[in-house]
Amino acid sequence: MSTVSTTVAVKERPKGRGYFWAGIAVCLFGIALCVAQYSLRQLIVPWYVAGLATLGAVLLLWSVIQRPSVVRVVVLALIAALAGFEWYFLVSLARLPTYDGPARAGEKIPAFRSTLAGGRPFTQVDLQQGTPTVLVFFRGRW
Amino acid sequence: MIELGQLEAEQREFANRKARVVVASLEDEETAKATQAAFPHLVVVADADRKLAEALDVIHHQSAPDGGDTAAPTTIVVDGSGTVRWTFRPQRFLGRLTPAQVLAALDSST
Repeated sequence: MSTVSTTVAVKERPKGRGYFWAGIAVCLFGIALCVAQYSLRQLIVPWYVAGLATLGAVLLLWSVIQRPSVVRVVVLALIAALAGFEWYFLVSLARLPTYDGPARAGEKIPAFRSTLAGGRPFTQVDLQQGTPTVLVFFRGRW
Repeated sequence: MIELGQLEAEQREFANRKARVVVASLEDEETAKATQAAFPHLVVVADADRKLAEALDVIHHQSAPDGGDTAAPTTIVVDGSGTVRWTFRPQRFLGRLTPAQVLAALDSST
């Protein structure tokens, strides 16, 4: 009686693959959430976009540590750069100077002479005719 | 423009308070007219010559996508006698007051 032995090659799942895809997914989720936020007309500062991109970079870094490869390193570099840019944009580029006048609570609005969209003059006198006014400056129509 | 749309949508609340909303940017007259047409209950200032923005010091230099200047998002509540009652500017241009916050500021300061 003879014995036949066979060897079955079991392909191992590459280490860190879950972290790799989770890192990409978390980063994309932040961007999708931001698009949804503005689609819903919620004008809040989207700090979470940079936070989630950073979390994605951390997950990708862990996947690289577990099993380095060119693809993983490239994707890590891209998402780390994206996270860095997002933090720079939110912390620095999007920052506005503090407003401390010359319009100050308790004081008369400074004199000015501008024009309404219809062509009529618009001055500080128009703000003294008994109607409370909310004056809103906005960046533009783009 | 989301902000202007939200303020326009709440025009009845402003009318109930006998208040008006005046909006201004540094854009040219044609753009201001288009804004006025899009938001008929707001009063739109065509401040391309920056007279209003300079008087209130709200110009944010080199902050437009094309590198030009813009008006920094700023909200100023003025009572019927022309006295400033409240001012607000967000820390970042991505943030804005909600209409409810604007109305609350109006209620508490006029």
